[in-house]
Amino acid sequence: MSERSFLTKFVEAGFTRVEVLEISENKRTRNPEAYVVTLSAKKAPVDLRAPLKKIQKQIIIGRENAAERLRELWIFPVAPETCNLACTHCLYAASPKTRNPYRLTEDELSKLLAQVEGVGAKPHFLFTGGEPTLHPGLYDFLETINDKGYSFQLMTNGTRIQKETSSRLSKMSHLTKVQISLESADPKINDSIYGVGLYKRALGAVDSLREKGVPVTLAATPMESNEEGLADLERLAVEKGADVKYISLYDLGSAKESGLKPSRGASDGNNQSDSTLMCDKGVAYSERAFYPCPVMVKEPGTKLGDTLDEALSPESRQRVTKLREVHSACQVCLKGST
Amino acid sequence: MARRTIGDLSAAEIRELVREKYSEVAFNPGTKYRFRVGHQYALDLGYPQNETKGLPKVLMECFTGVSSYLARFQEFQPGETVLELGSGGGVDTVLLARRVGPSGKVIGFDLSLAMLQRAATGSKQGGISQVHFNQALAEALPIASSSVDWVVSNGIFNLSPEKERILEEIHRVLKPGGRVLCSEIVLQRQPTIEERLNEDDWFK
Repeated sequence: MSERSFLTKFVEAGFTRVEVLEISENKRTRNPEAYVVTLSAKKAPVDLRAPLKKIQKQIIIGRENAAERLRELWIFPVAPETCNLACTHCLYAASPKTRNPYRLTEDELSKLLAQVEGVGAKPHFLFTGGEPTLHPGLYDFLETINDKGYSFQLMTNGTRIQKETSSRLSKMSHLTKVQISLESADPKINDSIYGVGLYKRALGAVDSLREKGVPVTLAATPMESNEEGLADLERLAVEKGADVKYISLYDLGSAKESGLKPSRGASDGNNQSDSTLMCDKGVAYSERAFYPCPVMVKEPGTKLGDTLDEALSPESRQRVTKLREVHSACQVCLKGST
Repeated sequence: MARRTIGDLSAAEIRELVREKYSEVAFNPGTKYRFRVGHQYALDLGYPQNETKGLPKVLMECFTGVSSYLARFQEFQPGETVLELGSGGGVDTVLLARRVGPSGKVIGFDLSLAMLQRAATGSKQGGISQVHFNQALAEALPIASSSVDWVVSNGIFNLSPEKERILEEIHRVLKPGGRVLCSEIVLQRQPTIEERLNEDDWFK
């Protein structure tokens, strides 16, 4: 705890005359940075705080507020580390070798949808992973979302998108796009990141989706290894009738292990026209719990709760705000949003 | 299974860790811990020799506070009621009881029964009767609103994940115009997320 936050807590709890009486040396432990502060504070002779507190509480947990807080809902149909590829920059260190048996169940999804309706929200759903197409029931889930009238998108590496699946996706009118990861227009560079033959398979998926008229976005993470070819990737996208989205490199998972560096030109964060932070737009649902954003789902201490109500509560908001001050991954997004 | 970090523990589980740790100190005060304990440590912190030398050993050997401020503070008045949160080995409790005198009262709350027993035994040995020890959570104080003149603590906030609740409770039980006096180990900066999640760091 910092001295400042210690003092602030007393002010926030309604004390008056919060003052530091003494600063002394920390002799209890061997932490050279720590010191001891002694403070005093007073309970005001007349309590002015009660009526004010009541009003604040009413404002914070208004229904519109919860709905407004949930404009996006990220869903992990499989655990974040469950994937058929092992990309060098994966923030979850996902690979075919991981053995997390978690699969989103139908029952879980319907409970989740009931909670969304309960708070009166109509979010955009983002199906991600891990590789979401590894879930045998994925397309049924997408149809459920589509039938309920929610807009949604699918993030995939494209390896398991075939003619039949493209055709099934093309019939879902609320699907806004399928995002396919591709790091370069140069097969050699792409395959050095994803694995041999993956360039060809990703492009096969792009072609099959475009043939059926499904909107496609190519997603790339600008790094030192692929920055040269990004202009070509944009040209390739135009040729295929697709968009390009740049995703920030987070110093987590495999990227951290192998010390990957972001491209020097990659200071524009997630390249979103809308610069609102993901954690301000919604929450992520992974392995039966809620998190501030998809990046955080494997980070210790970031779980917001088991229910949507908990995840959207003022307490969770406070936790997210605090997390943004201290977590290195948050700095990546903050850099992109300013 | 991956090692669980503090972030995955509930408030109750964290409290249980703290309770266990301090009971361990109460049973074995002479063992080496990651933090200092005992009489010499209290003297190094600046506890006045004339105040502590007459205190029973059973109290002094379990001292685990962070500051000697309470022992040096002169504003307590005879007849006042003081609530001490985290009374631990009972050193401050007994010194405070001397200040408020036989007409006053000091209530010591702690998580650890072993610590409470030590403190009760020690104050009895010291001939102090205006002290009352009880096992209680600082986050849910079992006493009436607006009932005490002072709430004091000597290094407890770092051990609770629910600091705001403790402060709400302190505010509730203080009489209007009453004061709170707290010493705590702090940093100039916000601790990093790793420091917050590491149980070992967290006993620092």
